[in-house]
Amino acid sequence: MMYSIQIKTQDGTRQYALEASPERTILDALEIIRSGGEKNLHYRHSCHHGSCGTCGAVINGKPRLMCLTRLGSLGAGTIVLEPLSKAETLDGVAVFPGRLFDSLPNTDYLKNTDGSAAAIELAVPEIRYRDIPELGAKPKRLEDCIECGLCTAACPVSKDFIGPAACAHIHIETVKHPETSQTLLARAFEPDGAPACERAFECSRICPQGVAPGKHITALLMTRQVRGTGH
Amino acid sequence: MEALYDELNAAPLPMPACSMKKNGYHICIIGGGGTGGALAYDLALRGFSVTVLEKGELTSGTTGRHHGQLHCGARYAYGDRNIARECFEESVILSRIAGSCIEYNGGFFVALTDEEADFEKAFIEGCLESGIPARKVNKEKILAIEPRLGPVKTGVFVPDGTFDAFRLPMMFFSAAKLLGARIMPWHEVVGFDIANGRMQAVIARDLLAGGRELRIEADYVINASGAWAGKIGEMAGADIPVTPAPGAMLAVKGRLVDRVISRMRPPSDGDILVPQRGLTIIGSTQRVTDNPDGILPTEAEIEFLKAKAEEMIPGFTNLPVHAAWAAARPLAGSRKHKVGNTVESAVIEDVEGRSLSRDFMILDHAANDYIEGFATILGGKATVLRAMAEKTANFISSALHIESECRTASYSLPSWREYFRGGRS
Ligand SMILES: Cc1cc2nc3c(=O)[nH]c(=O)nc-3n(C[C@H](O)[C@H](O)[C@H](O)COP(=O)(O)OP(=O)(O)OC[C@H]3O[C@@H](n4cnc5c(N)ncnc54)[C@H](O)[C@@H]3O)c2cc1C
Ligand code: SF4
Ligand code: SF4
Ligand code: FES
Repeated sequence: MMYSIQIKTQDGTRQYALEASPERTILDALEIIRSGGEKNLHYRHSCHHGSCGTCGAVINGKPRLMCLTRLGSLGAGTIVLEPLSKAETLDGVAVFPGRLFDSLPNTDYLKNTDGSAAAIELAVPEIRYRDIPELGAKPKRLEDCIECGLCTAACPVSKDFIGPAACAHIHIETVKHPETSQTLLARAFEPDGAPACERAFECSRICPQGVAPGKHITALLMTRQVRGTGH
Repeated sequence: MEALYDELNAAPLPMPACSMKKNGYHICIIGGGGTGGALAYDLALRGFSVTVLEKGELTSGTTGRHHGQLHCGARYAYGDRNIARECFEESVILSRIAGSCIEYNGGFFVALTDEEADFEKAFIEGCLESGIPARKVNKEKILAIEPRLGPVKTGVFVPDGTFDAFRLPMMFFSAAKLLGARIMPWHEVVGFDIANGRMQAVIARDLLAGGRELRIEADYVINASGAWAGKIGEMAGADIPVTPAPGAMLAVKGRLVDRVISRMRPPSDGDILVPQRGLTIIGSTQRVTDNPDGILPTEAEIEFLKAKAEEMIPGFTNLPVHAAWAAARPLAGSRKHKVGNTVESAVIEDVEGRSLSRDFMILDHAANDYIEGFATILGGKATVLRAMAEKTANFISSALHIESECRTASYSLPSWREYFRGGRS
């Protein structure tokens, strides 16, 4: 199939055409075009399978991951790519996601081990499966959010706002570690925190990982309401 | 020791580690993958000034695309116990310094055929002799823990893990940046200034500034460009025997297993399943190409991988393909090259396809191509990135006749997010 791709930025548009299978992704297409000799095409990418969160772009008007968007899924007509909003555009669709990462707290629940033999055994549940059944039953897992910033780009709030991903991080942390998350919770309730959300739920619709940040924001706001009535 | 550990933890700036005594030497690293990131951090921690040049975004080469298996070394134990031992040591170190991006859940080597079951004894022996605590687990227990696995005859539990292939190297880049290293993505190396048998400077283009040329002088230049190493070598007139060898991987939606699943046999194509968040990945394959840029998986590779995954997890082929992609290994060839002599574990062999040693090597271009102040680091695995950096930094130090000590195993790494915080540097 022939596809035509247009990259639109403040500085103008660039047009590319290529022959590719509809199964290939937008990222594949850019890779084909660039390795074919187009030196001025810049874009972020790393994992090529929706895990690293670097390849977001606005594709035909919607923030999506380029590596998970197949050419054949977009219908006929020119495919229009724009850089994600609320991020610093470097060139073409390449952005520097500084604002997103400035807003995200380090709420990771996976922690360092102390490297001892005992730690390895504990870290690896089955070795002591019989002794400590709850460890065996619950393997460790990274959070779903890949910090791609699509939700932030889709969010209609234009005033200062830490954004849906940061709110989701905070809420997940308060659920997992209620004892240590009071400061974070306070952060979430500053004017540019959860109260800034307009409840449009675009974030939940757009998230490629099913994190549903809108749901987490609602839950955050509920904690305040519940607490508020108690006073 | 403990105090410093906290200092590196205590991001953001200012942190005392930053005012560390500089030794006055400037090292330029070509390639912003895991190898370049780990080396930048190690060198910065030793007091070197460091510049990293990467033509795209950081980790846009092979790093970031691989399975994300934290190798405990079991995969290599039968073939090469030194490689296996190093993997195990490094996987434990990473679990200590980069725990926030690691799912340390272990792995099973499973036998699906009689031949694989017969391999079990030698396999366990290899692991134990390499210091890897491998344990036989009966098939009922394996199936209770990983119920989606197919007809398993027997299996062995090993301390494998998985990690976020993007976040782990970015933690090293964050640390390097916090220690003052100059990290320059979107800068493509296009040439060198070599005079009087010595590397003088690297010539790079700032791709975001219309290709404006920069000259970066350095006391030592390290080529850490992975599958691109041969191309960099050509620019310098150095013979670097490497062929880019793409390997394909495929992911389906659904976390079908929680641990890494490997076939109980010497490493082969399509023999590993790795869970990543809500995905399951099968890998990989191997072929060779001239150009590591823009590599994509072929239809045949995709079909092959599906069939291999189906052997381990019946029903796999019925699941929709989430993504299929490829990453390039730098395949080494046997040549006249001398290996940097501080690198004990380095090997160069006559290699063909998978018989390639997965270990890493340092090519000293002073010895091989009469260019002082220039070396290439090749091979390895993402799991051993810290060890590769340690050996390379030792090598640079001895080439520059200075004393320095590796301390990267002692400190907790800052968050990967740190790299993107506080604006562009
Ligand atoms: C299919 C496959 C599966 C793998 N699975 C695993 C696994 O599960 N676990 C594991 O531990 N390891 C795995 N590995 C190995 C691991 O991916 C690599 O060892 C590691 O990523 C290599 O990193 P690197 O930094 O050396 O190379 P790269 O990440 O390729 O970095 C080199 C960089 O140099 C840059 N560059 C090239 N030319 C120039 C230039 N002219 N100017 C500036 N920059 C340039 C490139 O853009 C690139 O970013 C796998 C490898 C493959 C191929
Ligand atoms: S629900 Fe809130 S955070 Fe999400 S898109 Fe709407 S306004 Fe933004
Ligand atoms: S919540 Fe979803 S859309 Fe937002 S950053 Fe995380 S993964 Fe991306
Ligand atoms: S390249 Fe990693 S999410 Fe698309």
